[in-house]
Order: sequence, then C-alpha cells, then structure tokens
Amino acid sequence: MIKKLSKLVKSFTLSELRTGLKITAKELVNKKITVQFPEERTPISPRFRGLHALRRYPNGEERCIACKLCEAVCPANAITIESEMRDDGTRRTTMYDIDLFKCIFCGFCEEACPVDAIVETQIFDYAFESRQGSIMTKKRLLEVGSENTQVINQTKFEDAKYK
Amino acid sequence: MIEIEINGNVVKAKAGEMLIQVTDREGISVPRFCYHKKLSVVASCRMCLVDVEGAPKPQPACSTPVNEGMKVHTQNDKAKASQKAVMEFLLINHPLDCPICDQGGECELQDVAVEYGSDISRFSESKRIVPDGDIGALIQADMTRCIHCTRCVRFGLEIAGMMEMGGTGRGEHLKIEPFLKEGIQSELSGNMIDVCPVGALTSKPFRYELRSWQMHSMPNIARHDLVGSNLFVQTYKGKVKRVVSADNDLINETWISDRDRFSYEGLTHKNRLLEPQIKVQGQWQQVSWKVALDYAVKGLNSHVLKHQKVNQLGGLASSTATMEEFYLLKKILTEVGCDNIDHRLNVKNLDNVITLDSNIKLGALEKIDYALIVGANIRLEQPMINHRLRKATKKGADIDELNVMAFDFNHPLDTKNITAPNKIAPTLAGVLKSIMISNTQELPDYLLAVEVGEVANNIAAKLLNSRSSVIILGEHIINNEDASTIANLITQIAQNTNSKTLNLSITANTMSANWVGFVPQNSGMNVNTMLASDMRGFILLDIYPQYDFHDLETAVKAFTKDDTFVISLNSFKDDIVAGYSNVILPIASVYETSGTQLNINNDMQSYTAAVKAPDEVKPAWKVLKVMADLLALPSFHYADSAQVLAEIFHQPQTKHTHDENVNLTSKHHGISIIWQNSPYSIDAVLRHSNALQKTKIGQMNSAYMNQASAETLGLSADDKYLGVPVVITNTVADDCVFINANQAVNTQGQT
Amino acid sequence: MNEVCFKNLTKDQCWSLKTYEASGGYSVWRKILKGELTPEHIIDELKASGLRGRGGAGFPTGLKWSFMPRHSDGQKYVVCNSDEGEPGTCKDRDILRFNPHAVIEGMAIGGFVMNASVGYNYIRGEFMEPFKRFEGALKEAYEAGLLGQNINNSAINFDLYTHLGAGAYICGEETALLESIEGKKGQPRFKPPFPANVGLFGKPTTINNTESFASVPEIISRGGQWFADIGVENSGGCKLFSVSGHVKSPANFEVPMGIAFKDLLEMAGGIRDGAKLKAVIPGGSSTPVLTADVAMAMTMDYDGIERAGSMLGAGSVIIMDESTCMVEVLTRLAHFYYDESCGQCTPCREGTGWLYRVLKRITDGNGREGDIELLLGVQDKIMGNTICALGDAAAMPVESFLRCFREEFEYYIEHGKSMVKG
Repeated sequence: MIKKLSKLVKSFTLSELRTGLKITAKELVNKKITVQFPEERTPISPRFRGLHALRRYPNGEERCIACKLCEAVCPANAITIESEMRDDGTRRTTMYDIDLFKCIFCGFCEEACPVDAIVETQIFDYAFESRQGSIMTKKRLLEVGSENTQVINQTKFEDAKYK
Repeated sequence: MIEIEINGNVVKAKAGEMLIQVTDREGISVPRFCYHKKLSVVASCRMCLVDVEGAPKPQPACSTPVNEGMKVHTQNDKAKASQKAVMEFLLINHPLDCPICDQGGECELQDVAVEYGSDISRFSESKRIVPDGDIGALIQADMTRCIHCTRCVRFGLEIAGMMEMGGTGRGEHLKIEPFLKEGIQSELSGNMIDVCPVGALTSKPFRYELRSWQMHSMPNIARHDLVGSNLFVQTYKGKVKRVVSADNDLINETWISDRDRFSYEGLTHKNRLLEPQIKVQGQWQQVSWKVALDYAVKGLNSHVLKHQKVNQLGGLASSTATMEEFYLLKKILTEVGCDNIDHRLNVKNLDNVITLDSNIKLGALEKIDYALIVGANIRLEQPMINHRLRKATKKGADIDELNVMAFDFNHPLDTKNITAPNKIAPTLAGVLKSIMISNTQELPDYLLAVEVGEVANNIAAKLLNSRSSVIILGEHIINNEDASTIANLITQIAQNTNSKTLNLSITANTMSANWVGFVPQNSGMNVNTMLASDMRGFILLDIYPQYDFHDLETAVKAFTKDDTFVISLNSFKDDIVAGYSNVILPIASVYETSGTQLNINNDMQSYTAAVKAPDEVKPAWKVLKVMADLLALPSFHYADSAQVLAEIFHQPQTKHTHDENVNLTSKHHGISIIWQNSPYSIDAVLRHSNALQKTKIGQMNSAYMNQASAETLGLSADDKYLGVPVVITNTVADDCVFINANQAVNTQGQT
Repeated sequence: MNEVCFKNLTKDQCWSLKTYEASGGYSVWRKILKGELTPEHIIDELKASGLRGRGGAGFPTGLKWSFMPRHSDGQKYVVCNSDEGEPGTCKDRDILRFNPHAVIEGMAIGGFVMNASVGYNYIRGEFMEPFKRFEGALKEAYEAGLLGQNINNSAINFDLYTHLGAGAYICGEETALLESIEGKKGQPRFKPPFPANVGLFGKPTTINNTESFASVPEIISRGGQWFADIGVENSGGCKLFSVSGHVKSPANFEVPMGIAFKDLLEMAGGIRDGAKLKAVIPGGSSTPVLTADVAMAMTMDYDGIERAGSMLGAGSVIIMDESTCMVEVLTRLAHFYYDESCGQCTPCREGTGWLYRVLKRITDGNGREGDIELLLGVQDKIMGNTICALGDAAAMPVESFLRCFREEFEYYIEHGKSMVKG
C-alpha cells in the first residue's frame, strides 16, 4: 500500500525525469569523449594488430624470404605461401596469401618472422566488396607495406624495447 | 654377449661393437653428426662424447668399443659439458640462415642444437664464408653450412666407389668440395643429400620450393630397375615434390639410385598427357572418358570382335607396367578369346631368347667370392645390384667380365675380357668344357670341337675354386645371335660349379610380366609375329615405339595400317603414338597408381598411389577394368588393385618351358650392333626428368666402336651412326658397335 | 755434455760412416747380425736405461717396444718421427745433420727387436739439408752392407726408406704421420686401435722420435745402467735441449737430465743484453709457460718440470726476457695452432680460430670486458675433447699464459695497448 503511494507521488513530481535530465545537464558542460570517426580517431597502441603488410628494405628489396614460418605458426591456417628460386638465386615467394576471413589477428606471424617482413599495421578500417576481397595477396600486402612505411617503422621502433 | 652399464641401467652388448650401436639399439639418444651406420667411423665431429668411467677424457661413443663391466654416462655433467662444448664450436661458424635453408625442419644440427645449444652466441667475430661452385644438376651445394662431418666424402669413397668429394685445405680452411670441375656425377650421388646432416648438400630440383614440414611422406617402391628400392614419396597438394630413401636392409639398405630419386620430376612435365583423345577423320579431339572409352570399345568391336577376327587383336605392354596391369591386359585378351600378348618389344628374334633364372638374393650377392659378368654395364644399368657386388669386392671377391666393351666399373675387375659378341658363346662353351674336364665328366657332343682358350680356362678355374660364385647375364646379350645358347651355357656352367645365376637382361617390372605369364602361350602370337601379320586391333600399354622397339619402322607400319584400330594407353604425349593410334587414353605414371613390383629377390612389393594422377589421368588398371566392363566381359569386378593382386595369387603360375639347346654354329655375320637406351632414357618418366637429363649419365649418347669397325663402316670420329655421334675407342671389341643412346632413332637396330 | 747423440759433434765429417764407425758405431748392429744379442736383452737394457720417448710424451721406449706383437704374422713397421715441427725445437734436425747413422742403427735395432723388416724415416718437409744428409748416410749404410735383405747372411732383413713431409705440423702426430706416409691427407686417426696393433698400412707399427732412436745404439753398447746413471731417477740419461729466445747463444745442448735450469741458461750465455728473465716455455710451444721465479728453481727432468707446473715435452726451452709482451706471444702461438690445425675434428678446427680471433682483436686494441673469461672458456672446451693432442696443445698455453700473466691481458684489454711495450 505504501509502495504504491510513493510510486504515485514520484510519478506526479517527475522525479525520474529530473534525475535523468540531471545527467544530461552535467554532460552538457563536461568535456566531450566522442570522436568524429573517420575525421577524428582515437589513439592506438603501437602494439595494435590490424591489417597485415609485407615490408621492404630501404633499397626496395622485399624482405620476405619464403621461410614459411608464419604459415607454419598460423593457428587459423590463414596464410598460404608458394616459393621458388628467383633468377638471382634468392629464395622468394611467388604467392603470399592471407585469408582475412580466417585470420584471427593473433600476431603470431609477425612474431615468427625472422626478417620482420610480415607485420600487422594499425589499420583496422578496411572493407571488401566481394568474397575474393578477403584474400590479401602478395601484391596488396606489399602495397599496404609501402603506403604505410613510415607508420610501420615508427610503431615497430616504439614497440621494439618491449620485445 | 657382455653386460655394460649405461646411465645406471645394465644392458647387453656384443663384445667389440661400438658404444653408439648399443645406445642406438637401446634407444638412448646420443647426439652425432659424423657417425652413420652404413659408413666408416672417423670420430671427427666429437658430438657423441660420453663419460666412460675410468677414462680421464670423455670418449666418443662412435669409436669406443664396449668392454665387459664398462660404465658409461651419456647424460651426466661431464658428458653434457663436452657435448655442449662441441655444439658451441659447431655453431660458431654455421650461418644463421635456417629460414632459407632447405634442410630447415629436418636438420640434424637444428635438432641437436635445440637440446645442446645455447640461445646466445658468445662468438662475436666474423663467420666463415665458403664460396660455392656448381657441383652438378642434382645437388645444390651451400658449403658455408658445412660442418665437415665428411659423411659425403666417405659416401663417395665407400659406397659410390668414386671419391668425388674431398676435403682440401686444413684447419678452419678445410673445405669439402668436389675435386673435379664436372662436379658430382655418380649414379648414386643423390644419397649425399640424405647423409648430409645439415643443409650443405640439398636437392637441386627441390630447391626453395617447400619446407620439410609441409609435405606428406608416403612409402613407395622405385620402378626403374630390378631392385624395387624402398623409398618415401613426399607430396604437397597432390604433387610429388621430393623422393627420399627408406631403409630396407634386404633390398636397398639405406640407399637409392639417382634414377629412383629424381624421376619424379617427369610427372609434372608439360608433355604429360592429361585428357583422353580420339582420332576422328584424322583429327584429334579431346573428349571425356566416357566418349573415349565408348569409341575405343566400338572400335574394337567393329574392327575385331564383330568380324570374328579375334585372333587379329594384340596386346603389348612395356616392362614398366605394374603386375596388375600385365594381368588385366592379359585377362582382357584371354576373355575376348585370343592370346596375342607380349612385353619383349626389343628382342629381335623371339626364337632365340634368354631364359635364365635368378636364384641369388641381394643380401647373398655381397657375400660371394667370385662373379662373372657377361654382357652388362651393371654399374649404370642396375646401380643397386652393382653396389652389392662392390661390397663383395671390398671383402675380397674377384670379378671378371665378359663384355663387348671395357666399362667403367667402380670396383676392381680381376680380368677385363673384352670379347666380340660372336665370341661370347664360344668362350662360355670353353669355360663349360674346361669345367667338365676338371670334373672328369663326359663331354656332350657339342663341346667336343670347342677350343678352350686361356680366358675360358682362367674363368673355369676361378668358378671351380670359389666357395660361392655368381654368373650375371646382362642386357647386351638380348639381341646376340647366340642369346639362348649363352643363357643355356650359363645355366649349365652354374649347375656344374654350384654357382648362382642372376639374369639382368630384363629390367623394371619384367619379373612381374613373367610371373603373370604375359607372353603368348599355345596358339598366341608373339610381338614380332603380330607386327608381321595382318592385325586388326592393338591395345598398347605405355609404349613409345622409338625407344621400346628394336625395329621402329616395322612396328609403326603394323600400327598404321588403315584397318588397324589402335588403343594406346600412355602417360606422355608422343607424336609417333599420335600418328598411329585411334584412341589415346592418359594413364597414371609412377607414384600415381597402386600396383605391385616383383624384384630380383622375388619380393612382391605392393604400393599405393602417393598422389592422385593429374587432371583426367587415370590408373591403367582402372582403365583396363572399365574397358573390360564396356566390352561386356564377365568377372572384372574389382574395387581396387589389391583384389586384382589377390586374383593373381589364385592363378596357377605360368611354367616356362624352354629348350636347353646349345648351338655353337656361328650365325653372326658382319658387325653386331648393341643398342641400349642410356640409363636415364629407359622409360618415359625418366626421359622427362629435366635434372637427370642434364647429368653426365643423362647426356650419354655415343656409338662406340674400334678403329677397325669404323673403317669397315666407313665412319670417322665426326660422323654419326644411326643418328648417334661416333666415338672411336680401342676399348670396344672387334666387329661390334656399342650404342648408348639418350635419343630415339628412326633406323634403330638396322644396319 | 754431448755424450750420446752428439758425441761425434766436434769431429771432422761427423756425419760420415767412417767417423761413426771409428767411434764404435754399428757395433751393436753388427753384434745383432752375428746373432750375439737377443731382442729380450735389448728390451731389458732399454728398460734399465730409463730412456723415455724424446718426442714429447715421454713414454718409456723399452716398454713401448715390448708392446709390439713381434711374433705375429705379417709385415710390421718401425717408423721414425723426424717431423720436428714444434716451435722452439731443432734437436732432431741436428741429429739428422750430424749423426744420421745413429738414427739408422737405432732404427735397425728397433726393427730387429720388433721383428719389423721395413722402416720409414719421416722427415719434416722443410728439412732439405738434413734430408740430403740422411739420404747420403742411408746410401753409405746400404753400400756397407748394413741394410737390405739377408744382411751379411744373417737372415735378418731391414730396409729403410726416407719420406719427406710437405710441411704440416700435424704430421708430427704419429697417426697423422702414418696417414701421410700412406699417401693420404695428414690427419690423425682416432685411437684405439693404437699403431702397435693397427698402424702403417694397417700393420703393427712402432713410432719413435729421432732422438730416441739415436740414443739406442749407445745405450745398448754401453749398457742401460750407464745411461740411467747419467740422469736422475725416473729421467734416465741425457737429453737434447734446444735453448732459444732471448739468450746470448741459442743452441742445442745435450746435457744430463736433472740439470738445473739455471745452469742450462748459463750454458746458453745467459739472457742477452743483461736483461732480466721474464718467462720460460720449457718444452716447446704446446707446454705451459712458467714465470722466472718458478723456472729458476726448476731442474730439467720430467718430474722437475712437472713439479714446476709444465712439461718437458720435446725439450725446447724458449726464453723470454722482460721486453716480451705476453699477449702478443700468445697471439702468435694461437695463430700457429689456428694455421696448423688439420680441421678434422670440431673443437680444434673451430676453437683454434676462435682463440686466435679473440686474441687478435685484443692486440688490435679492441679487447672487451669478458674476453679473458671467454678465452678461458674456449680453451677449456677444446681441452680433452679432440682426437689428437693438437687441441690440447693449442689450449694449454692459453690457460697458463692467462694464469701467469693475467694482469698483462687485463691491461691490454682495458687500455688497448701493451703493458710492456706501451
């Protein structure tokens, strides 16, 4: 009986509405935490594991030597590599595919790489328009690497001391 | 038997054997690099150092003989310290290039380093770098990785019989390298890849393609010689990527020949036949199996069966077929109602064939004390059998040859009897006569007039004096005018001296063909009769006439006749085959089909397919089975090839009866030609293996003759004979041209 | 002094057969040929003489000869090791030059005792003059009917061949020497089996040093006891010491065993330029180095030098005065072993190079903290883990140099320059 009465009083005095509006009023003056993605971005840890990239040496030579350790370590079997001897006698990949549908972004490939060729960048906002688009081919991976050389070098440098 | 104590456990051992043999048997792991069970001990890597109580220094397990009551610790501090010390030394100059090393993942150094190495190197000086040369088409050298275990050197010296690798320089500058510019050319060289514990010697055709962990390993049997070496076929995504040897002490020990190791390359050659084809109005069409088989069956029906011309159908197979294939082809023809089958395509005169049993096992071959080789270049033709003979010579066996040419053996020969083809039978008759005189036996009439020369007396004496001897008859006698006489003489010599015989005039899977009776019985026609008569249909199993027939023209003429319907089952494209066939069906090659091989030991070895044949290619036994079904023949209900084999076992084994006539009247006239496909050209898959073809053996292509023969034939050193470059050498007997060809020739076998 | 191997040294043409025979040479061999001596007698005399192998290991010669299966069937060999390659040694060279017949007679006696009818003298590749001398002496001996088949109708056969090496230190190791005679690459064999069972061409073989063989005739002719009395207990007879280094007159001295080091130094004229003694390597470069104090109190015999902490080795005494930088000496020694390792077994092949490189880095002024521990660690890992003694020989000096002169190494590493030379 008393419960019912107090509920009636509360609803007539709009107490719940006022409680709610109090927060609204408070946030009206507080600092905003929303960012305007994609114009604005939150900061990302250098250790963030996003889209993959294949790096090159400063002289333009691709780093990957087709050792297939990333392929072996990949827990999701997302990586497929084919290799052969290039004309200059070095060991190179002829195919380096990462299936992003399979990839779980664990970063093992990066850790297994003896030459720091495969890395995970900070890129996470990507989309594909077809199912085939989920396959990161060697060409695309190298492109991602070249386009983001600076960022990759910077983040790898920052993270190096913890490795 | 004595007892020793290893790590506190008492184990039994044979007095005098090396400690490492005991630990290996007991499953106690002792790291090692230079020790190899089939090679001599050098104790140079020092990795197997163990602590033997009472010895002040650690002792190498590989060269420490066991004694009664010996106490050994393989894992105590002293032993471990020594092993770790050696490991550190081995690693200081070993490059850290495991990621690009083909041995990575199957490397003995890696494996041992995991346990005995340290994660951080104390070595901060610059590492040794060794420049490499090209050491041949089969082996890739990366000598910077070499740890100087000298297994390859010892392999060359002790097993291959030619010291192609050796150490030059000393100390840190010790370099293991081939002595000669031409690199490694031995017919067993590929085994160096297997024995190399690190990535210094790796397979060249396989270079940088795959990592060891990516492949499936399937046991299989080599099909290029009479031994049937055991091996592992390593596959990736349905393709054969590499072949390595498997252990079988009764057959191939741990070795396989290069032919067996690298033939797989042919499987992916662009010349592979991938789809069934039919010839309609002179045009080839690629069709489905159904269409092709219907066409084939219709063709057989219309050309042969409908017209009650059953006896005008022939079935020919090459010696590389499996036992099941021989049997099914035979069964089809038998069921249809004829018996025209044959596999002896390269024999000129089938009334004069070699019939000789092999009655010595490979293991026994290395225990003989005398061998007589008649007409064989055994080192190249049957490398694994030659290996056993070589082992026998190392234990002191004498070997004599009766060859038309002085071949390059890798073991010492007591006497080289270079004998003209027409003198081989008389010489052997002399041997038999000499033996019978010694045994005071009554001489048969045909021996009365035989002259016994010094050579014959010599051989006879050795045969009589030997404890266990063997007479080996080889391929060069196949088309000798006295072939059957020679074989019969050998049989009699063997009987009179208690010798064994070894028939190496056959090869590949001919033993199986003989087992299932793939030769005409009763009324059946043999291959030469077939080619000479009016045939209406042929089923040809993996035949490439320009290599397989002694007389190409006659064969092609017989196949090309207008009203002859030819069904060819082949694994490789071939213009000549396409020229005469009406249907070409693509069949599986080595490692792609299940089957059975019968080797010289009479071991019946069955194998399964290691990979699925590519595209539309099917195993020949299946093709034959379906063809039989379509011909509405009963009792071809096989689900797999094992059922075929089971049926073969229930067949009465064909008994070969052969005459034992010895006819010593000379039938020779003029110069005899011995044509041989060179060792890496004997079957289709070998001919398509690129790396093998690049080797010195693969390039063998010469017509050898002496000056007198060259003059008789009007040839000089720059000429070609039957399309093959002439080599004039006095190592060839008179009246003889010995041809080792890696090419097909149109006028093969004709003078 | 100079009583055994060098007893004819001062005579004219001392290497000729005439001189040798005039001083009683070949008398023992002639007695043997007449059947007046038995192998047992010779072995007993040798055992009594206390003659120990002069090549470095010091194994009693009489005992070694008695190990040969002399009654077994088949060929046996006796081999003389004149591949004198140890830095600091030059005694065998002078024996071959000045008393080659003693070696020939010693080997012939050895051949008789061990029933070996063929002998080989393996002479170091660089010894051109000694080689010619020895060949000349061999010719004389053959011409005098002292060697060959059925010598003087005694039914004794002994043929002796000279084999010139090609200049590898490792061929001084007895089994590498055998390999070299067989025409193979000079690399030591693992033991067992020992050469006494499986030696040259797989037959029982005894290998002795030149000086050991050259001492035998004199011992047999004058009696083992006489020889033993020259020396001290456990080190019978006299020994050739090659004194080299910073002394006034470096030379070979044949002196009784047990002579004080002081006296030997005196014989060589003392330290040159009146400088002070700093260090002594008493037995060739492979033996541990000794400091001046220890050396001056030492007697030159097997036990005396061992008590001092080193080894008699081949008796090559290398004297170093105070101007010597021990770091540089060790670097030079390390380079020698790095260069001379045969490369067969891992610790020596890789370890000698490592030792040399670290030392070279130190002497180049790029030493690092921890290098001394590294050197000690590496030498410890070579020690005892190799097939032959070259590994130990390379490791031993490192340990002793670092033990005796550690402060010099520390200084070099810290300052990048030599403490002595500045």
